[in-house]
Amino acid sequence: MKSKPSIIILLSAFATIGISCNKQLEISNPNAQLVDAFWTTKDNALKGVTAAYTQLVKPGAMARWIFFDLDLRSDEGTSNSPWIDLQNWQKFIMPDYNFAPCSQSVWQDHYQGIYRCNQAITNIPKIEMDANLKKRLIGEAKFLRAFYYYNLVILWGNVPIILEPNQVTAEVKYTTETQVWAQIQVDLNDAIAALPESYDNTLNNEIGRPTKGSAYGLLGKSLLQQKKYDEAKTALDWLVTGPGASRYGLVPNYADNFKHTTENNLESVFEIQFSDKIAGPPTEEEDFSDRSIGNNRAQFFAPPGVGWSDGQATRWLVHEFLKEKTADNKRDPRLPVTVLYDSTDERGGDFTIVYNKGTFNQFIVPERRTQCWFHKYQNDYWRDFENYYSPINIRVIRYADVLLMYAECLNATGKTADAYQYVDKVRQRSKMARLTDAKPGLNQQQFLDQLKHERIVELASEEVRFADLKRWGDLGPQLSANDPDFANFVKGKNELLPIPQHELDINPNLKQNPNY
Amino acid sequence: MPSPKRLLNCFCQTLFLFIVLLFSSLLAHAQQPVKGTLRSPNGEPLVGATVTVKGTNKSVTTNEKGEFTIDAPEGSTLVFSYIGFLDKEAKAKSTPINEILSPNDGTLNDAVVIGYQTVRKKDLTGAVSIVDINASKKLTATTVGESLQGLAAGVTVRNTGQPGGEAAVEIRGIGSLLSNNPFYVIDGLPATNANRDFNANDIESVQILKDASAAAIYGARAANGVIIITTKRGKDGPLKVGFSAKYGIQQVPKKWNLMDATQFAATNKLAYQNGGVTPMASVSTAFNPAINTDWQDAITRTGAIQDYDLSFSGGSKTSSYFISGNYFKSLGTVINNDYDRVSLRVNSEGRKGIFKIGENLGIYSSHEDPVEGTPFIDMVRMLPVIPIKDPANPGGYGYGSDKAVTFGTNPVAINNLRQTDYSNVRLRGNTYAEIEPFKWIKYRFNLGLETSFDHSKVFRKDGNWTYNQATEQPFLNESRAQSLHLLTEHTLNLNYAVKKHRIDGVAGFSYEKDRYEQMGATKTGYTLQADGSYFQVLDQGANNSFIGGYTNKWSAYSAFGRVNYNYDDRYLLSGTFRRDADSRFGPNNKVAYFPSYSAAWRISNESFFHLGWVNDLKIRGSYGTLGNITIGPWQYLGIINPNPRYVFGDNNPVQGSTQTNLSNPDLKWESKKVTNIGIDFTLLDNRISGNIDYYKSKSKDVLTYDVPFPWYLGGSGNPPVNAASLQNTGVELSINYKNNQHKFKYDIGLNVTTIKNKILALGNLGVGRTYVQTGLTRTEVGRSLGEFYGYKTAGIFQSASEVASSDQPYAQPGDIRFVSNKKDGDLTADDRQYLGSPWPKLETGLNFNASYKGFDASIQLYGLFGRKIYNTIYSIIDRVVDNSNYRTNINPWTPSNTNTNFPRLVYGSARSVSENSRGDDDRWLENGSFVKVRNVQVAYNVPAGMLKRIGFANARIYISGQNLLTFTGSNVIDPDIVGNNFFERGVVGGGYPSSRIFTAGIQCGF
Repeated sequence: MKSKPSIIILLSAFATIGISCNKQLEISNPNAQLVDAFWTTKDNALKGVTAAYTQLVKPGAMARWIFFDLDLRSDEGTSNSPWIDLQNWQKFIMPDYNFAPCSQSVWQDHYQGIYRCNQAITNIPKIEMDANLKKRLIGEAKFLRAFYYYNLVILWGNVPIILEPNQVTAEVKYTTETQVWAQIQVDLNDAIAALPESYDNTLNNEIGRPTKGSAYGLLGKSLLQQKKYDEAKTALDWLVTGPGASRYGLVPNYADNFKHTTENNLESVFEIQFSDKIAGPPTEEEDFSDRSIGNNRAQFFAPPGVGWSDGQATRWLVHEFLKEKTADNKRDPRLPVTVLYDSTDERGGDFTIVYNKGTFNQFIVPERRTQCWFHKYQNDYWRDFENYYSPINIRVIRYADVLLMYAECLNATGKTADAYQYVDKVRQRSKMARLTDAKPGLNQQQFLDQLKHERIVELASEEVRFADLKRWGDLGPQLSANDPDFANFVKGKNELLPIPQHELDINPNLKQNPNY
Repeated sequence: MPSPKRLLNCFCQTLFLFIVLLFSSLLAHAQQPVKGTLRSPNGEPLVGATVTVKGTNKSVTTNEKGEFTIDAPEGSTLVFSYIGFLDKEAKAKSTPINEILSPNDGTLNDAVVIGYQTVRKKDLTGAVSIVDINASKKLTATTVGESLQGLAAGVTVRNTGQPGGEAAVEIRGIGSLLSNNPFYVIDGLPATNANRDFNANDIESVQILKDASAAAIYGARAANGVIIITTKRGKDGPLKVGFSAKYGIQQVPKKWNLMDATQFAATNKLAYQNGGVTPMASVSTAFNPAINTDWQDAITRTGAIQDYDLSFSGGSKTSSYFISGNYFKSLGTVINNDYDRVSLRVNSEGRKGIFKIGENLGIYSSHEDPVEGTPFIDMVRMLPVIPIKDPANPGGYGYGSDKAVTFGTNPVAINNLRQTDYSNVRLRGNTYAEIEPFKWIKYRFNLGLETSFDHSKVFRKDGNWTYNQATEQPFLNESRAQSLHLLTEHTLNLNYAVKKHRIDGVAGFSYEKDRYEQMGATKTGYTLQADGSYFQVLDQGANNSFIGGYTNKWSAYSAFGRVNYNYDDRYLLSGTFRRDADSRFGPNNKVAYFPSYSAAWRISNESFFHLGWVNDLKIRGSYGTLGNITIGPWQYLGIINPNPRYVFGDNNPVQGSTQTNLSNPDLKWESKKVTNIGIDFTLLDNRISGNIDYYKSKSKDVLTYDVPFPWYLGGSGNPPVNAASLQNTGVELSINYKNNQHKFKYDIGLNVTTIKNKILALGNLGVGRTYVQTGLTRTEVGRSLGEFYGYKTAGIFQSASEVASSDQPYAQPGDIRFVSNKKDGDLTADDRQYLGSPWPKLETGLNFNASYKGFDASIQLYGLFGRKIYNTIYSIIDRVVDNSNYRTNINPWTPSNTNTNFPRLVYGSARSVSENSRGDDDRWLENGSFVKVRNVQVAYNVPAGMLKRIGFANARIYISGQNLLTFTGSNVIDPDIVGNNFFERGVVGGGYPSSRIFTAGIQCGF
């Protein structure tokens, strides 16, 4: 053909075009930063750890549902919620192991927190930055990881241990309660070594981060829960007799422990920071710009007409306070702080004011006037309404708790006489007679029984009672005398929640908790 | 935006290529000419007919007078061919050759666009449906897809009556779990969508590529089938003006027979009393006979449809043009609901020597006022004892209260209190340049652009529309978006014939770039003005502004080619290949290859074949791989969420950032392997034509979000994974009979489709779990998608002894009896079973056209057979424990009225009573088979003599009825609806039914 040379030219030109257009297939995402590019700077290391804290204020973590699993499932609390499944969960009737609020949400929000800690712990060591800050940030992430696992192990026991920021293909093995406790101790010992004794309180973004004391406190609490009394005492020594003793103490006014105006005080060993500054939807979804960082507890526990009244105090709790009067023969001042009921004002329902909206007898319908509501962490001391954005911090470990735990360790290791002084400190703050005077010479068992009472009146509705009962072996149907919900309690089963079925379905390595 | 530098680069390359081609064409030189003229039997010149010197690649085309001049040695044979005519041969001689070609009624030589190439219909080796565009244009439709229903085998179309609503089109079943929308190519512009922003009057032809052989040239996006639309072009000749106008009314096809206030009050009161519950005040102590609301009348109306189209077209040897303008408006059958569209089109082309340059451009502006809420559910949920207006309520509308409990929404209220407007302007076009130095090679450069400017606005006024509604502040939400799609494409078409061999093919490259940017804001704090209005702009919102926005981008680079080989019109082979590289996938999975092969054997051309009544018979087979992209960009990457916040002491939120979603770096394309075997035939002097196809397709690596991930991994939500695998098999038959030898001419077209869907895999759903449960349906490995799964009923308990022997010990006589799989004294989730399939066993369309003198008439039928549907409305109005209106023909069980299937009439909370009202059982499943009279049209063509006086060239007036009648075994308003997603395809719940439309129209030209 005559046209051969031109065809060759033509085809090569065509091929040239084809090859030269083969580019532009790498388009970077303008909407978000990529993971690998993120973990490279000091500022991002700070942000990554901040994000691990955020999970603390999610509904399934310390903002809402955990109070249902810990406070309401103990004999201190109950539920008269119109949401029957929610009410039943507190009565140990749990047909749905994936029950969205009390199982799925709590489980997921904690593991999402762990995922964030794992990202920080894995990635921050690679960042070139100030060594002290680096060490501290990793320490904070380890403390938070230990805290998330602490809640999980209290509730579910044998939970999977995840220590890497895994992606979808990860394979996970079954781990026992003992292994989880061991991991918590490892993280807390690392945190103790890495965290400072205190932060510079003039720097606004440092208040509320865990200190060395926080880590000792959580370690002591974890060891005590395992009844490793000697080790627990050693950990708590730092706070009670060691360097921490000068940093922590009891605030004079007991009620200051439950107000937003007196947060992060002398008594606070570790607390969750809430704020009403972002009033967007308080949903479970992943973080978005205006997501609430407020505490939802008050909205859910406030009496009807103010809140949802999904969780309430038992009447038995009130009676526990009435067992003993103050040194000057008055009612225990901790009672009105703890419970809102017809006699929060000692003169009765015509004097007890509900959220400045009226008297108890005016505001509460007759058929509910014998019922009780939790009063700690409610906002009625400064306003007449509740919402999803309560600014009140949750005190996870108070120094009063540390003192009582320390006393429990001493008593358990045969040093009962030694233990008195610490209980006295707590009692005296509330004008109660010294135990040394009121009940001297208690034997080990008697002292433990007394401690049980002390922990109720000092720490009621502060998420410790369920773990306490478990540690003391007191969980059982006999508690139905305090809280009829316990009639359904099955020993050897209900000490732990059922592992969400969703997890067992996907991962055959996992096992359901006993007797479910 | 594409970088200007890049565009310039591509243009320069194109220019370079033109110069090269120009140069090469000069190398050719001339020979001695042979002249002649080609005409049709009625003496009209055939313009653009091809004259080829037999056995060579030399050919020319005739000019506007039908004349040709070709260099051919004397004694050689010339072959004349023209689309729609039979080929003819003649010896070359020095005197002019005048030939008359005969039309080919079998249309086997029709040109078919198969993607980057046009082939003769008879040379097809893959499964391609050629839509009868005249039939499709008889429909009053918002989208092309809607007008395709029943016209092509293998193409399933589900309709909506909603103004501006788009019909759902699926080709050969469900092959993907995310999107099954076909891929549209309009005038060579891929990755577009013949959505409502497209004027179907502009269409010249529609071809549907169904198998791998046909569609593989579109590789990664062809798995759901390809619909190729070509718009009209100007034809040689003087200016032609076309005008058409259509006006019609539309109605809801059927009303429910619901009770009036008196009947309702009596029935509702009785139900409460039977349950031991004090009746509501509105039906007892405070019954007000003056309130008797017919909610169906309150929310529906007679709507209207208008469609006006004006076009100019014409052309000469060197240029052609087509310009059209269109106005379409649909006023819905629900109040405050309409859609309108203005569109313009300019298609033009210029030719000079070996060059051709042209463009196709469409501009559309549309506005939709959508329905608010779910009027087709609320019109049965609302009680006749509730007034439409109630001044005592915020906003002034009546709705449920403790005197008249219903959680239905007042549809009149929501449609007046909330106003949504969607509007957009779309520009869709391409410009191209061709150079054809020789008859056998053609280079084409194509530059395409599609952009849309979208605006959405929602204003919510103060006021309530339902019982116990939380107070919501008036707000305005406004968002704007722009999409931009750019295409540059180079193709080379080759065509070479020697003796009995013919080879043609195409090779090309394309580069595409897509960008979508959105931003929106919401504000509250709007003040009601004295005249009852609001200033509905963002500036007037006093507080709470939420602002968001994002950008999505992707690009794709593709190389493709096809070779067709034809030996003596007996053996046909075709191979297609496409390589796609796409930015939407990760580095390891960016590139994918899509090959396909096909072959055909025209038995009728064999010398041993001697069946006189068979005009043409061809067997063909194909196999190939197609791809599917159903996810957006960057899904394979782990990204950082910048939104976590925490306060450190001082109550000021500190920003955190971290990865919150799990990522799946292994994301890749879905791929679909398709085998197709088919037969094409024409019989009895071309009076019967048709084809039969059998296909089997297997989609693998199907993306799904339904594979659950362990919560302990700590991510939020499930990332997409390529986990599922689906199979579709089916048979398609389409057959046409044509009789046009007499004054009474008619033709009948029938198409039949079967699609059988089977799930092959769904990924790891958990131990022993092989299904995904979606509401009322279950999708399980080994079965079809979304089969109904629930409790089977076995009539009504007639006696206490029947109850005693059942698994419902709590029941009473008069309650529904459920079939129990396991006798364990209780009805549990384990007692559920499969209850039927929503997928039709057979889909069919029948089209009949006839003409006699100036009259013509047509009828289109569409039918689905052998499927179950769920009647959501019955499941609502027969649910006695949750107040809605009741149908007038209920027949509740009583001890004296036992021969019924309706349980005792009781309102209450007892388990047995609430189980009577449960939704997940077979009581609401109905036979969903139907035959629909889709369209009937009668027209009169005004005789030319009468028209000459008024200067018209032609005029046709017609009346038409659409969705006139539906024969069905079900009770729903319309069994043919877009419906829920494919997991719940058979759930016919309160969707917008296709309207019954009566239209009158005129089409004329001058």
